[in-house]
Amino acid sequence: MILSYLTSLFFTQTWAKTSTSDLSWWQVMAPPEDISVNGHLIDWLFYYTTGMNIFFFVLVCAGLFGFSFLYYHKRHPKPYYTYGNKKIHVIIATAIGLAVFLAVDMNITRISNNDYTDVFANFPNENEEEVLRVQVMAQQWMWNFRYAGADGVFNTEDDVITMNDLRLPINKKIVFQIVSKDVIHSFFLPNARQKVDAIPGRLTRMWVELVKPGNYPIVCAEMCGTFHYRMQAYLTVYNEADFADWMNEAERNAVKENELENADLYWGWKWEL
Amino acid sequence: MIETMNTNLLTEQNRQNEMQKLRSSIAMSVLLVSFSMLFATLILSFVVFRLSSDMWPPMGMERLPLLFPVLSTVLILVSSLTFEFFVGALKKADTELARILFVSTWVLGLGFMATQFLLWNQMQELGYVLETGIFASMIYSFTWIHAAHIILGLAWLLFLIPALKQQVSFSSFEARILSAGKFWHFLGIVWVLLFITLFVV
Amino acid sequence: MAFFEQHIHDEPKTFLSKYIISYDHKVIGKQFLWYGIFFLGVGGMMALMIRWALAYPGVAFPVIGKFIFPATQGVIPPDTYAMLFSMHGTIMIFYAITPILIGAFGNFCIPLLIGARDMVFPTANMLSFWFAVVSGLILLISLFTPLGAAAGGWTSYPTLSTMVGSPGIGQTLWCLALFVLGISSTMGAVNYITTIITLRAPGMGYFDMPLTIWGLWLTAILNAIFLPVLGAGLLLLIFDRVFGTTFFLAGAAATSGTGDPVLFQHVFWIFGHPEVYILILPAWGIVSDLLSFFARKPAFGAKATALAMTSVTVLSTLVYGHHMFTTQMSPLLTQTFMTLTMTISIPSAIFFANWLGTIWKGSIQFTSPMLFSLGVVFVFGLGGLTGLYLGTVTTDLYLHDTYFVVGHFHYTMAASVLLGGFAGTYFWMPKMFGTMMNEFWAKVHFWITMIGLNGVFMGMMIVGFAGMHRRIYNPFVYEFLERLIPLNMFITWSAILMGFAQIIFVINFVHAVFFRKEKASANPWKVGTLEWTIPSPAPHYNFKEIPVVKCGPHEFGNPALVGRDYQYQTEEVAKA
Repeated sequence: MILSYLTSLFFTQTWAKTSTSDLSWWQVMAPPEDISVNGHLIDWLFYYTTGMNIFFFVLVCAGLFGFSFLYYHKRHPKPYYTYGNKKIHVIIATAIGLAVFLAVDMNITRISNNDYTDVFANFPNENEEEVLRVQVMAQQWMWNFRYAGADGVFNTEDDVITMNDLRLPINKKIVFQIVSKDVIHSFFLPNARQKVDAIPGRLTRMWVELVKPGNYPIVCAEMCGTFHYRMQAYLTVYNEADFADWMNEAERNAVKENELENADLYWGWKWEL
Repeated sequence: MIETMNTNLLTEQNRQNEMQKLRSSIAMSVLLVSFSMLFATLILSFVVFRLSSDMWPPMGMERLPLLFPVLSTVLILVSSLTFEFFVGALKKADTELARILFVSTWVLGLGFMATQFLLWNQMQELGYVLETGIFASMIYSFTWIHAAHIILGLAWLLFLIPALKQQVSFSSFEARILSAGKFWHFLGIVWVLLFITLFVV
Repeated sequence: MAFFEQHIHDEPKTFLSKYIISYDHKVIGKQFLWYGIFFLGVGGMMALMIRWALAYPGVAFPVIGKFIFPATQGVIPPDTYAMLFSMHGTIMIFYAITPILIGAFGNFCIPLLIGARDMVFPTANMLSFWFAVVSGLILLISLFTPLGAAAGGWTSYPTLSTMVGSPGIGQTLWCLALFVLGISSTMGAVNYITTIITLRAPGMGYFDMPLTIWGLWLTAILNAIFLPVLGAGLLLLIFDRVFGTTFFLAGAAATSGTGDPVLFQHVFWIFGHPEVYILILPAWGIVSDLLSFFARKPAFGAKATALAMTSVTVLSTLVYGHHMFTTQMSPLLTQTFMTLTMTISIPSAIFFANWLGTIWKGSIQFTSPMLFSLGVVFVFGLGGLTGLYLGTVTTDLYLHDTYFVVGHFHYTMAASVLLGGFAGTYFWMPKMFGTMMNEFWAKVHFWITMIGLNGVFMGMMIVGFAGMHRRIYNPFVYEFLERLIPLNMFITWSAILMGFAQIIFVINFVHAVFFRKEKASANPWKVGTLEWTIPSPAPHYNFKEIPVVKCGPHEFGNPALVGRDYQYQTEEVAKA
């Protein structure tokens, strides 16, 4: 009875849901669409590592299943008496170790380190190029965003402040400074393949450059309490013209609508490089 | 015939004692590594807080008077010394002296606890309670954790009382005495480190 | 070696002294085994509830849901969900795997396999178990406190785990329980290390010890060094929670002075990364031995395997930073930790090669312990290789805190360790309880478990790569995760399958312990290590005469042998 209840649940629910989507299995398993300039570096490294892993895992499986088949005791009753301490054995074992290390590990370490130092941790020089600055404050369980507003200075009356609603332009480098009000959160843009923790008492930074307009999710990736799962914000990516329109309007509204007396308005901080 | 059997028994007894010593010295070393890691972690957190603040003690705090910490240091170091003399006296089978030295070790340990209490009282009078920032928090919590171990050490020392009886052979108690001693000296060393980090640096 | 006659207690007569307050390492090992299996059941049940919530959010948990969550008609509420995954992690790591692999096999095997009559410190051994019981009780009590048990994940990062994020007493009890368990494990570790150094049978050098003992020894060393680090972190957390200090509070949450929440992460992972190896090392040791035993062939490069395990142990202490890449470390630090992490793959690949070398040209008997050991090679291969993505900083930026991580560490810590534990249980069953378990059902258990766990953990890695992040109650509030519903159902059904397979094990185990009539022979597996030279089950005080060791533990298939293909460790190596 229990079993039939369970199976009926399984079938009705599964088929009802899958029939609404026409995604192939490959599309289901693929990560969310990459909308950033640099996300492909991470994807590429992932697939490269996967290729290498599959190669070595196939070797392991060949040994595991192959030997299990070949040396089954009925097929191979007399084992070969060896301690595996002959020179050739030691050389082969060490060679395998070094092969994995040099072919996979050192390669991906080098690539990853280059990517990290040259791209992801290489913040745009804000004195030389124009960037969009955004301050992010995480709290249980929402995201607060702050743009500098018309005067370009943070934590002033004309700042544009939004809740769970982040709007960004394409083709412009965006620098986030992130902090948390209460517990540790993690600012995760699945579509840009990046995340960084939001920590109370210390600023963390992240930068992205986006290329594709549309609506995307922002999620909190670090356990932050009961409603962690609802800590979702929405990212809207505009092209340059649309973003300028939105920003102009938002700046005008900000001057009108911000409650200047409310101390809660000034959660921002001075932007320091 | 009987004589050789007796000597055999005697050497066997010696061998057992030697083994006992080896065994407890290995176990004690491992245990002390564990305890050191506990205190090392505490000192690590001190270092992190110390390095990440611009000034030390933090804003609005002042260093504590050194009187009680220094007294504690002196007491615990002297108690380590008396413990060593106690071991020496036992080796020479001078039970009278050993008793005096043992009691003074224990009393000095109690004295250490007393100075700690005085230190906590003084801190309270100066307005440093647990909640007043990490400077005070660290002093309280680290000294509390250390004091808990001192109490453990004092209890441990009580297990040596049987060795103070007349006519007991030192070698049959040697392992026990050396282990307790190692722990006691270790607590002294930890205190000196805590003293330097919490009160001096 | 430093061998000395142990003081022999009389055989206990009363029930109390025989089964409850026992000084006998074999009884303590069995106590830990039952303790571990009990918590494995509790933790497994929690896992099924978590999986149910993920696949069928808002649907009542079948059958028992109505009794456990009456307020919501059987639906798991979100705050309970957080408790469930926190307690699942804690229970599985500290109360199921640790007692089974380290408590049960450590206590049972160490004296038997090195030819000793008991542990060096039987009293400490007994206390170690009872401390573990106290700790387990504290943890179970915390489930019934008003605001519920700890709900900040098994890592319990502050400031979520301070009063700011979890005001209930449950989190305090959690800290206390782990602290007490730390005392228990440290006592055990001191005992193991000293026993292995001083009580090896005469003639037994370090490289004559079975690799199981190597694994347990290295585990004990890591335990003795790194558990106190967690202990100190927990003490400070308790101070923060109970006395209002601010070690881990910062920013607006701290009213005065500033602490540093990231400090706890450092302390936690300085302990936490070695902990991963604490769990896996005994399983590696057991597998290295069993592969040789059932391939009827000496362990390939046994010395190299032992040394490789040792170097992994050393390296494991230096790599913890890779858990914290997303807290934004300097590129210099990320590079250091990344490179050190990658270095671990050299020794790992070496003993992997040795495992395969062991079965190469062997004469393999697919008994249940062997199947489970081969299973470990398979799942640990997957688990180890997927670790590469998380050790490289850029892929970790994307994968950190997603289900990919969950899948990866379940492959290494759950799948490999559990399969290793099952292998050990099936293998030492005759020596522990004097009966064999049913081979047929053991094999059924293996195959269903294997299919189930690969479905679960492989599925987790896939949904993780597809972007599903960790510890969320209902993934489908996110539009971009809706396409993963069928996959999540698949994972849940695999988990249920795996859960049902364990019932087979429990029935088989209980039947063999209590109801099986036929007694096992002294050496049913035809293996030459010391525990098989004595009758089954192992008698009180193990060895009538302390054995003298004359050869290594893996003497199989020597062509000079006549009549049997293995040698006891008490015999000289046969020469043609």
